[in-house]
Amino acid sequence: MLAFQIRPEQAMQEMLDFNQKLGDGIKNLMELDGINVGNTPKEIVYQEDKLTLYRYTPFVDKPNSTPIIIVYALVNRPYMTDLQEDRSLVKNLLQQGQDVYLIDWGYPDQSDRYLTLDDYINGYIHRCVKTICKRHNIDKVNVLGICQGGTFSLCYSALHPEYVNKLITMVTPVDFQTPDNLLSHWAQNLDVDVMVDTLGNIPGELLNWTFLSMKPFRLTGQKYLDMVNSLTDTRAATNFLRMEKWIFDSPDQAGETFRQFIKEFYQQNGLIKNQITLGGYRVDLKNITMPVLNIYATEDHLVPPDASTVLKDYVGTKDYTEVSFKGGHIGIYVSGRAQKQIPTAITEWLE
Amino acid sequence: MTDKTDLPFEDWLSTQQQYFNTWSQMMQQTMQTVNAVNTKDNAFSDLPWTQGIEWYKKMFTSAMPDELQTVFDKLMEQSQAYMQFNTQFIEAWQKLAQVDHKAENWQHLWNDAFKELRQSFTQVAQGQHANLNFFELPLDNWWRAASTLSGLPGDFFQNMKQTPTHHFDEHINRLLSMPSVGYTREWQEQLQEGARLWRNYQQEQQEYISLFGKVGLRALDLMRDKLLMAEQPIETLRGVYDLWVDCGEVAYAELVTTEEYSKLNARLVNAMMAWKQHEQNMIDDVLGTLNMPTRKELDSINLRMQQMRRDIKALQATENGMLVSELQHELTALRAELEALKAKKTTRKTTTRRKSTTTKAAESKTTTTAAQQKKTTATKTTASKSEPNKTELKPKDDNQ
Repeated sequence: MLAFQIRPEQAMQEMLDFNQKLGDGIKNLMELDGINVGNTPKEIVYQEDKLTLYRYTPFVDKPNSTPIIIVYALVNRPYMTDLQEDRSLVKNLLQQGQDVYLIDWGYPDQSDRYLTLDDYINGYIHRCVKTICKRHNIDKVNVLGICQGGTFSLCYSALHPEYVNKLITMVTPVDFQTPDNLLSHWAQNLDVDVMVDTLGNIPGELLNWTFLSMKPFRLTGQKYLDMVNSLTDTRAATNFLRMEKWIFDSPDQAGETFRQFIKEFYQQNGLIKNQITLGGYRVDLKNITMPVLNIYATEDHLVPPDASTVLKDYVGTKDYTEVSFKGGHIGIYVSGRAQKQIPTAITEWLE
Repeated sequence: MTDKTDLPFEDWLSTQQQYFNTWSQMMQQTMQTVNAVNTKDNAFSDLPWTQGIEWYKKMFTSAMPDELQTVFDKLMEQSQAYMQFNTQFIEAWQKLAQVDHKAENWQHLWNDAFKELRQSFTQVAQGQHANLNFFELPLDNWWRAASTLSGLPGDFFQNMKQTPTHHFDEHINRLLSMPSVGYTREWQEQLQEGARLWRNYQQEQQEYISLFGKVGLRALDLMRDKLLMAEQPIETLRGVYDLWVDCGEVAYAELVTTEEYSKLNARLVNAMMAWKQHEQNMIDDVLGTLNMPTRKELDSINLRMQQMRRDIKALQATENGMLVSELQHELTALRAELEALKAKKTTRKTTTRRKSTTTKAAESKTTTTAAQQKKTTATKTTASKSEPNKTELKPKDDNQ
């Protein structure tokens, strides 16, 4: 059998069609209104340095009396959790009666170069949690940590268990050296000292390069051809551009935090070896005695499932639940299925 | 957004229609062009189907809103690459189509046809020619990232791969072997060290580029195997492209998961950082000589500031600190209460002033209170200025 059945005139017609779609798409692109993100109503409740703590306006009269604080990663921006009206983890949690707070880390500059993991976890996160406790006159909050923010949440919960009612981790790396962890594989031989000493803060562009390099032909080539088809539909085009905005909206990383995170977590795998010390205290995952819900994505190429699910072997709690989501690292926030499954799983577990 | 009436879309599309209608007639002629231009650089921009994309670029680049410029550029780049890919494929396909699949040795003939494509990749690997720039995407990403870290464009040294590097190496070697003597000896040594680090970075980059040439070759082999085993024929150019991407990703994944790649990737980044660090140190030396602030000094200031921020937070978190904080809150609440009482009292007095004979005494009392209030406000302002950059807003609803 001939592997190709493409007649020359058919090939030309296809290229003509592509060209026409491209022309129509460009026209559509130029007529689009601005790209808005994070539209769910919220108010600022606490600010410190570049950090802002938001509280989303509850959707119900009597929301859950224990609020959730979302701790997002330092990489990329937290509006991924509230990307657009019909793709919003935050909005769905609010609709299900949760009271939601979110930490926005802001964009660190050179004055933040010496921020350490201790500053982020024992400092910023702890003060945000205390702010919420004070506002609601409660002792504990529910913590939802996402990706690197999940790792931070684990450290926080291990160091301050008295402030955490229930812990939810989403696509969170715990074992940083599973064989299928490509990021870890690349990080092992990096001289992170010379990198931080040279650059100070690590530019977001460098991280973008790393992430795009994981699937370069799809993420920097094929994706844009797919976009030609999307561009003729205004809604699909806007969605694409919104995602594109998020992908390239990468804050610089505070230098010392980056140094610590790469060395102690990726290169030494210190979290599961009980080797992480923050503010003079050892991070022992056995101190996590509160109920834990661990959500991971089966197709996650950034945080492979095995890197997450190992958590059950290290936490001190007996109340450990796992939820797997069939999808990738991004799909877990924005796919249609995720909108229904993830907030429902969280709310049901919290109840 | 741009007014659509400014854009000659209708004219453009109708012209395009006529233009593409002539393609059938041009096909034979064009394939000859393809064969002819494959030997020179940037030849694909001469082909009819890539010219269309060029038109779009010229017409819309300046009109595109700033926030969409990057996406637009990417779209144009990849559309052009797609057209180039199609051209390459059509050329290869013509040869493959000539293979008689009933012949006993048809698989060998296929292999022969694929050899020519492999030749293109070998040229890429040797840095001679990059018609199939699809497999340069990972390198392109690196050059873009590198350009953000350096004062030079990321691809500044890219063209050097096309020049006989041994001549350049000779110059560098000569520079490095020069004995540093005289009053500027240390500066010369620094320049030599900089040149050595730069050469090291270039060597790592060349090795990196060569390694990616292998991805193209491997992808081609994978594609050939998939086509030979295909159960369903591919009926669209896009189908071929998607298969190409799949094979590219598989070949790429095979490479980047190796220890060899992990080490080379790290060496590339480390070499660049070492060179950049040396460059920074030299700049610092110059700045110091000019009595201007250096990067090291700014780092020291930032380090001390961060330590002070920590100390302040630690003080605030101590028992005394928390007590002070609580007292501050209490004081603020009491002041607010006092203000409210005073306002209430003032209103009442103003109302009764007309009737009362003791108005003057009351006014005098009010003036004294106002003076006290002014003094209190001044104290409050001073106190709030001495507080750290921290704002805590009260909830709107006490029940929440």
